[in-house]
Amino acid sequence: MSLKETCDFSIKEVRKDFPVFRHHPSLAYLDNAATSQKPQSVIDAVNRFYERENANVHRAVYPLAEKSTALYESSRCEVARFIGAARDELVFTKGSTESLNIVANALATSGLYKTFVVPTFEHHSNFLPWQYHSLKNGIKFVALPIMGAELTMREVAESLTGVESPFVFSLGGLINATGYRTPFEALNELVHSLGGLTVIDGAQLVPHESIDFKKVNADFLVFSGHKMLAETGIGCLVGRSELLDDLTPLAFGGGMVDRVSVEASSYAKEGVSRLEGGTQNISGAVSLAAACRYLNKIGMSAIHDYVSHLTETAREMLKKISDVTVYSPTVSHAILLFSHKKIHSHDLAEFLGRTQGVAIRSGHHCAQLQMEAFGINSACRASFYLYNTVEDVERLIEGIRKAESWFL
Amino acid sequence: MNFEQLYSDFIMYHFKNNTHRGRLEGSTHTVEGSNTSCGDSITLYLIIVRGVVTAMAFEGEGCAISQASASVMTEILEGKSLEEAAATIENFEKMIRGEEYDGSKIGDAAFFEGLKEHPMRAKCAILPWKTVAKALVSNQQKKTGA
Repeated sequence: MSLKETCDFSIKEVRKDFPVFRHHPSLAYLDNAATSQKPQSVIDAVNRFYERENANVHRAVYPLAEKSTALYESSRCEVARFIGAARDELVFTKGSTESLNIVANALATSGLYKTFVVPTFEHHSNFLPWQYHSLKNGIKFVALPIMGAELTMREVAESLTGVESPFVFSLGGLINATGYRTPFEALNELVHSLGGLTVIDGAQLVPHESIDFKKVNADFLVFSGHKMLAETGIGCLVGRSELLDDLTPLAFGGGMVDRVSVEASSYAKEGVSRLEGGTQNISGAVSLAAACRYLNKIGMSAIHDYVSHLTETAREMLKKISDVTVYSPTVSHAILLFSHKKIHSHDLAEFLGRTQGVAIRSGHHCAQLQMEAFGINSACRASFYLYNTVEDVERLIEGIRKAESWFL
Repeated sequence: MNFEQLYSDFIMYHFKNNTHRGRLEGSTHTVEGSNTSCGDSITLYLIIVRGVVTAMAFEGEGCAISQASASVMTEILEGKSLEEAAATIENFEKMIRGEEYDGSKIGDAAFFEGLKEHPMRAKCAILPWKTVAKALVSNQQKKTGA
């Protein structure tokens, strides 16, 4: 029996756009929080780039290099538009981790900030850079404790009241382990009212929600291409341009220098390429622009509603299995963290993957402190995207039932 | 390798019937190990007398493979001299890494050989062995006064 699938686009047609399902027709891919599959249009854009448009950017004057530069810069414009930012507000990076490292390093060495604040439910990539750079630079590091999986405005307000200002508050939009959708818009307001800067880790958020950088009112926003249909190794650091201009680059080298001399060199004073030292991932940028076009064609709002339907369907079905605990809070989206009382998460994931063709993730999900808050070492995570079906969810549930009869 | 081969009857038997689980009163060595990539943890208790592992037990949390591996390991190493134990551990690790190894040294632990094709799960199987190696090293250090 299949539940009625309610969405504004045809799942059948969408699935046809993703060649992986042609090669693995029985794959129920529920590990989208780790990385997404890629549509043909993204693969074609990358192939086209390498077949017809490849040259290094920003350097040479011959026509092919001009073409490549134009493509790289138009990709920046497209991605910036997708996120509601201006083109001079978007830096291409390797991904969210690199983006966060650039910001943490630069803000720590600027000498302007007294405190870094990060909730403990964050992905390690939004925790470790802040912890490391604060300790190294004599900045106070505040790890906001969490009860369970959520933050309340009151708790954050209380914690921030005693914090020495100016401070930086870095927060995930959609939490990687649990799918908790944080109230980051309201928290941005609160942080600003207390004299802080906000950094939003959008690695899980941007693939799922239509985000307007200006409206969100964050100081920085980071995200990764590969979780939103593009290649691996490409991501973005979005920031208010006056703030970006003050960031010390992490990578010194070609493309970001003004004048080099033996005694001391001078660097570009402004512009996003200051932070893009070395040859960038040009095909990655092209793929990310193609991914944004594809997501816009389907519609971010339709994708959000459909994924929400899948998440809630899965949540209800998981809750009916008596030995399963769902850790994701009610206000979560696209991701469900759960465990089985009698089957270890690795055993369950291995069983589902090898015998049922259902791909989920097991382990601590790069969020050891979040696992600690739940009193567990590891758990299973199922995560959904636009090409998943209710049948995928049903197969997950049936798979858990079958694992119970196999293991117990 | 399919699921039934990976989770063989032998491995599942040891997972469900591990006989050396628990604390060991009067242990001379207690060592802890953990697998940071997945959160598995193990505590091993050993009684080493006159260069022989006279008794072993383990406590811990982990998947079927790590728990079965701990069970098999404690069964094999109990009664072995420290030299024999070290040779067994070395050959088990070689087997899991897919290197040449001496099968005569590892007994039933050879049932884990298939894991060499599964690096993520090989980590689960090897955790108890890496942990016991630490106890043997510390015993050696005590002896030599290092």
